[in-house]
Amino acid sequence: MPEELLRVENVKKHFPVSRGIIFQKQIAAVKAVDDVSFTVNRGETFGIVGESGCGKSTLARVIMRLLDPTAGKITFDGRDISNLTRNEMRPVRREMMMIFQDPYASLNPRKRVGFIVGEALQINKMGSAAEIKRRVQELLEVVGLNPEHYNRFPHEFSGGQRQRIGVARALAVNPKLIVADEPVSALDVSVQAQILNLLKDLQTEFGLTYIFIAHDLNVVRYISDRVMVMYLGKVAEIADAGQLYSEPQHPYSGSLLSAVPIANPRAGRSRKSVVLQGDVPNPINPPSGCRFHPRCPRYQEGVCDVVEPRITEVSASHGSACFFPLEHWPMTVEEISSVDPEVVAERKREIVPAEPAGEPATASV
Amino acid sequence: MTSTAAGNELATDGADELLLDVRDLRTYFKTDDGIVKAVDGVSFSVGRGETLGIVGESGCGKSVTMMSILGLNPKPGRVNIPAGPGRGEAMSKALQESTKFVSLSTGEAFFKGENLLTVSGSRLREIRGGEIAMIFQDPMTSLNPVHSIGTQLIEATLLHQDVSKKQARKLAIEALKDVGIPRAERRIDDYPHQFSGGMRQRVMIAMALINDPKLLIADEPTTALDVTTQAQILELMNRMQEEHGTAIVMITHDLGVVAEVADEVVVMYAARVAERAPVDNIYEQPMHPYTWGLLGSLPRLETDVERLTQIPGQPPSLLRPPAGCRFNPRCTFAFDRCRRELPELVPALSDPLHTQACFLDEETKLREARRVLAAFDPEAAGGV
Repeated sequence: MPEELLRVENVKKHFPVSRGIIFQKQIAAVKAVDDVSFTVNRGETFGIVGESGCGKSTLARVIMRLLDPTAGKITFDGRDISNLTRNEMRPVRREMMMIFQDPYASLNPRKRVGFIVGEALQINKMGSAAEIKRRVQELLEVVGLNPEHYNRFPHEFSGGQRQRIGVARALAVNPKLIVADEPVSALDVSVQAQILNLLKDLQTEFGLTYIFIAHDLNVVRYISDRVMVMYLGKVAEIADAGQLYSEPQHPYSGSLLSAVPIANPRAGRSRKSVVLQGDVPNPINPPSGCRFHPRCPRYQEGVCDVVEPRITEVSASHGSACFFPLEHWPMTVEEISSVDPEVVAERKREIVPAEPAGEPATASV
Repeated sequence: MTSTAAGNELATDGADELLLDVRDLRTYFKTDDGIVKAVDGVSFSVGRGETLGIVGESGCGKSVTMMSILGLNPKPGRVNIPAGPGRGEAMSKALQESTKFVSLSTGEAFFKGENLLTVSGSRLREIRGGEIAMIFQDPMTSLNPVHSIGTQLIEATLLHQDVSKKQARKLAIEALKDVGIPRAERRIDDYPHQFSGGMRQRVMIAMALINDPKLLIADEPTTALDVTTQAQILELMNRMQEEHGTAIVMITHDLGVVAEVADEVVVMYAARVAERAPVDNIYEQPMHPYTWGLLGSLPRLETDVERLTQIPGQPPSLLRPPAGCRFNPRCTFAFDRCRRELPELVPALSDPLHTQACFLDEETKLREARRVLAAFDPEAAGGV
C-alpha cells in the first residue's frame, strides 16, 4: 500500500492585478493555480506537465510555501503546512528541497561550491564545520563531481556540472521531498540524460520522492511514475505515466501528445496528428466553463462553455476533467472532433438543473 | 516537405540541382583565450526544395556555419588563404596578426554558382533577405520593438523588390494572411509586443518569405515555443515549403523536430560533421558513435525506457580540441588510431548518400546500431 507524503487539496493561488498609484484597488486576479488537488506517495516521482503559463511553477512554489496559497490545504508528512508561520515552517523546510531550472542563475556566483552545498547544513546547525565539510565532499562525490571541487566557484563548471551542484545542495539535508522545476530543460540532450539518470539513481539509493515539473513530455514520461497534466491553472488529467501516454482521456492531453515530434521519421510520417489552433488564453479572464473549450476539437456548445468539468475517475489511478473524454488513442482529427450526439444530449440534461445556481455539475461517467 | 525519396533524387541529380554547396568551410574566431575553431572543415549541400536538418549540441558550430555563409559573423576578415593542408594554421596566424577583424571564414559556399564567401558585400546584402532568408530562435529579439511589424515587412520588401510603398503594404498584408495571422489588415500596424510568441514567429516567417526566397535558413525556429505552438509553426513551414518550393536548412538540437521535417540530416560534433545521411538512415542505421549516443540519450514518448544510455563527459572546448577524432575522449569504442588521426567523411555501407567520420569497422557499427535501437524500438532493430 503506497504511503502518502504530500496531499494538496483545492489549492488556489490568485495574484491580484491592481490599478492606481496611491489608492490601489484590485481590478482583477490572475488565477495562476485554481482549485488543484492531488497526492504524492512516498518514493514515487510525480510529474507535472503543461505549457508555459499553465501554473506548474506557481504550484511548485505554493507547495514549498515560497508563495502563500490563496485557498486550500497542503498536508505534508501528515501535517497541515498551509497556514504555518515563517518560524513554524523552518523545521519543515529542510524536509523539502528544490532544484531549479537555470543552473547559471540558481547558484550564487560569488560563493564557493562548498559553501553553496553546505549552506543548508549550516543554517540548520547540522554538524561542526569539519563535519559539514566532510558531508559536502561526500555529496559532491555522490552526484558525480570531484570532492576537490569544494573550493571552486560556479563559473568554473559547465551547465551539466552546475546542475549536479544544484542536486547536491538539494540532497544535503536529507529531504523527504525534492521539487525539481524544469531541472533539465536548459541542458543539451547528452547532459540531460546524465542528470536524469543521476536523479533516478539517487531516488533508488536514498528513497527520495520527487515532484518533477517539465514541459517536455518525453522527459516526464521517462522519469515519472504518475503524471498530472495542467492547463491554465487547472488539472486536466492525472494518470499513471504509461496510461497517460497510451490511453489519454482529456483532449488536451491527446493534443499535447500528438504535438510532440517523435524521433522516428517513419513512425512520424504515419502518425495521426492533431494540431491545436490558437494560443493559451489570458489567465486573467479565462474562458467560461471548461478553460480548454475555445481550442478543443471536441467542444460542444451548451455544455463545455457553460459548466466547468470536474475530475472524474476512469480507474483508481486515472482521472480527467472532461465531459467527452477520448474513447481510444491515437485518433485522427476527424475522430477526435466527432462526439456521439447521444452523449452530448445526456450531458446537457445533466447540467440544466445546475445552471441557474451557477454551481458546477458533476459529470458521472 | 518533399518525401525522402524525392529528396534523395534531388541529391543524386548532379551539381546542377544543388542550391547550396558548402565545401571544407572553416570559421575561426580570435578571443582573449586564443583562437576558437568554431567550424573546422564542414561540407554539405542542399538540393532545391529539400530540407536539410543540422543537429548538434550547443557549441558544436551549427549556427556559426550558417552565419559564416551569410557573412554575419562579428568583424569578419577577408584574407585569401589557398586550400591545402596548411590552411588552418594560416588562418590562425592571420587572425592573430590582424587588428581589424576577429573572425575569419575560408572554404567554399556556392549558392547557385556564386561563392558566398568571396562575393562583394553589396552582392551579399542583395542575396541576404532576398534569395536567402533567415528565421532565428527568439522572435522577440529578431523583430524591432519600436517599429510596427508592417513597417518592418514593408522595409524588407522595398529593399529587394521594385514596388511602390502601397504595393509593398499590400504584399505585406498578403504575407501575413498566408502565415495565418487573423485580421491581417488591422494587425499589420501592431507592434511586436502585441503578438504572442507563436504569432511573432509567424510574422518572422512572413517576413522571410515575402521576397520568395530559394533558401530559408531557420535557426532553432521553434525552441522558444510551447509544444502545441511548435506543431503549428512546423506545419506552417511545411505548407510554405510546398507552396513556394523553398529549400530549408533547419538548425536544431531537437532530434524529434529533425525527424519530422528533414529529408537529409547533418550531425555535427565539435565543429565538424560526424555523420550525414538521408533522415531514415540516421534514425534506423546510424553509423557514428556520437549519433548512437544522441539517440540513446533521448527519452521517448512511445516506449518505456528503463535507463537512458548516456554519453560520458562534456563536449570539448574548441580552443583546444582533443587530438585525433574530436569525439574520442567520450567514445567507448576509441582505439589508438582515433587518438592520432582526424577522421574524414567517407561513405558508409558503400552508400554515397550516407557519409560518416569514424574509423570503426562497419560490422561492429551495424551491430552497435542495432543494439542502441533495440533499447527503444524492438521492431525496428529487427529490421536493420
